[in-house]
Formats: sequence, C-alpha cells, structure tokens
Amino acid sequence: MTLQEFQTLLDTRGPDPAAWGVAQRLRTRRLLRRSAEARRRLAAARALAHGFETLQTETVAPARLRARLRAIPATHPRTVPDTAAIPGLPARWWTAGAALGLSCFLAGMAMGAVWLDDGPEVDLATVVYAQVTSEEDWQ
Amino acid sequence: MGEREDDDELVARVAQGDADAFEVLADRHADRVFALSRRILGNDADAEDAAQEVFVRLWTRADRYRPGRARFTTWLYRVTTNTCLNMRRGTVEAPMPDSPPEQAAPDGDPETAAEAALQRERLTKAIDGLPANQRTAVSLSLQREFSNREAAAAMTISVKALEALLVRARRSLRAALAGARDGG
Repeated sequence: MTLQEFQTLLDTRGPDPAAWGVAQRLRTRRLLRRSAEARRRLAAARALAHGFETLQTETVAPARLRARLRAIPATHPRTVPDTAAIPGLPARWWTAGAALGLSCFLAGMAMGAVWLDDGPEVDLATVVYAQVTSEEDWQ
Repeated sequence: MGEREDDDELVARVAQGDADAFEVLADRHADRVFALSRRILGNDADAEDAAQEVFVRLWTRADRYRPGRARFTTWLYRVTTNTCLNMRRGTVEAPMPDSPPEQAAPDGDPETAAEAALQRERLTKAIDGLPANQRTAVSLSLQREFSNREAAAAMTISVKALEALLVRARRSLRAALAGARDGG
C-alpha cells in the first residue's frame, strides 16, 4: 500500500481500523511499521475524529429548545392508537391475522366450488335403456 | 449497554403514551440530536426546528422503532438525518452563523481550556465552511453511528458518491485546520 492509497483509505473510511476490512488492515499494518509519515497521517485523522466527537458531545441544546421538547406531549396529539386489539399484541398484528383468516376462508370457498365432487358421470342413454327394459319386464 | 436497555424500555412506554418517559428520552438525547442537526444544517435556528421535529416524530411514531433491529440512538440519528435533509431540500441554504454554538463549560486549567476552545472554534468554522453535501457526509461519517453504506442510504446517494464527498471534505478540513494553525 502506498501513502496515497492509505490517505484515501483514511479519507473514505476514517481512522478506525474496524471500518477498513481485513485485507486492508493487513496491508496498512505493514505500511505503518515502515513509514513515519503514515503514522503521522493516522494520528492526524484520529485527532480530527476525536475533535469532531468532542464537538458533538460538548454541544449543548439551548434551554429554549429543551422547553419546546418538554411541551411536545401537550401540544402534539398522538396519531397512533395507544391500545391494541389484543393486550400485549400490536394492533397491526391483529389486523394482519384477521386479514389472513379472511383470505384463507375465501380461498377455501373458491377451491371448494371448483373441486366439489358431484358424483359419477351418468350416461343418459343407459338410463333410458334401463327404464325401458325395466318397464318391459313388468309387462 | 444499560443505557440501551433503558432507552428501549422508555421508547416502549412512549409508544403507550407515557409523557414522563418521553421527557426522560428528550432530556437524554436533546444535545446529540441538536449537535447533529446543527452540523448538517449549519445554523442554530434550523437545528432547533429540526430537533423539535425529530422529537415530535418520536412522540407520535415511537411504535415504529424495533428494538432488535438497531440501537435506539442509530434509529434516532437516522430520523434526525432524514429530517435535516428534508428541511435542507425544502429551503435555500441559510448563511453561516458568525458564532459557534453554545458549548458545555470545560473542566481543567484555564490555559488548556482556552486552547481546547480555540481548537473547537477552528473545527466548527472549518466544518461550517464546507459545502452542504460535504458537511452532511462528514457529519454522518464522523458520527460513528453510521457505516458509509448507511450514511449513503440516508443521503440517497451511492457509497461511491459518499466517499468522493468524504475525500473532498476531509481534504478541505485538513487544509483549513493547517491554515488556521499556521496563521496563529
């Protein structure tokens, strides 16, 4: 790995080796062992990340914002139901279950109508013949 | 880890309409949400509006958070990022503020504190001086809560495009900070 490649790695992935990938960590380790400039660049990238982190953690939300946040429950009515159809089960699960049940019922009805067994096929000619011969037998 | 459990518990209570739980969560995370919003939007007034919008969403949509999928803070910062980006898309970018944001009072001896304050001011100025897209990219990247893939998704750009923004942003920051140090 060259110094330029290392700098690009620092710029795109940051100074945390966990974000570099195994192969790049190995190549970087070799570069850092032999190059003081690479070590200096890593230290600079870490200082920048640390400075940013400090900036983030030390920035304080203004008091007026905190007051606005505390007022939210009173000023913003909730748009989601607080209670579920079944205690302990989210409302959308209950709805999904009901929809699934209805779908199964309708599918069952449709399949039943198609596959309903209406008995063996009857040959009309045989029936007529049987009826005629039966009547002849009586005479 | 304990905080994560506490956050998850509190969010579950917020989803049930518990205003006390909401107040605890808002107090705990207001600083970080405001800080991230300010980094992305570049000024205090918009950052306050964005932070309020984020917590309104937490109050009204807490049931959308799934504890097993992501840490609460990751979810919260994603909501923050999306809120800020939506605000930025809807508005012309505001001019940069003249003063850095309010900071917590540092501990330690006055000389070290003064040097630290100077460093913070330089960094704040350098970040605020970046173009909006670079500032957002570097803010998300340095947030540690986001991988590059997640940051790119939040900005609705490709990972390659995000990395190009990061390279330019970090080069600019290095140059700005080096210039500030050399200039005294």
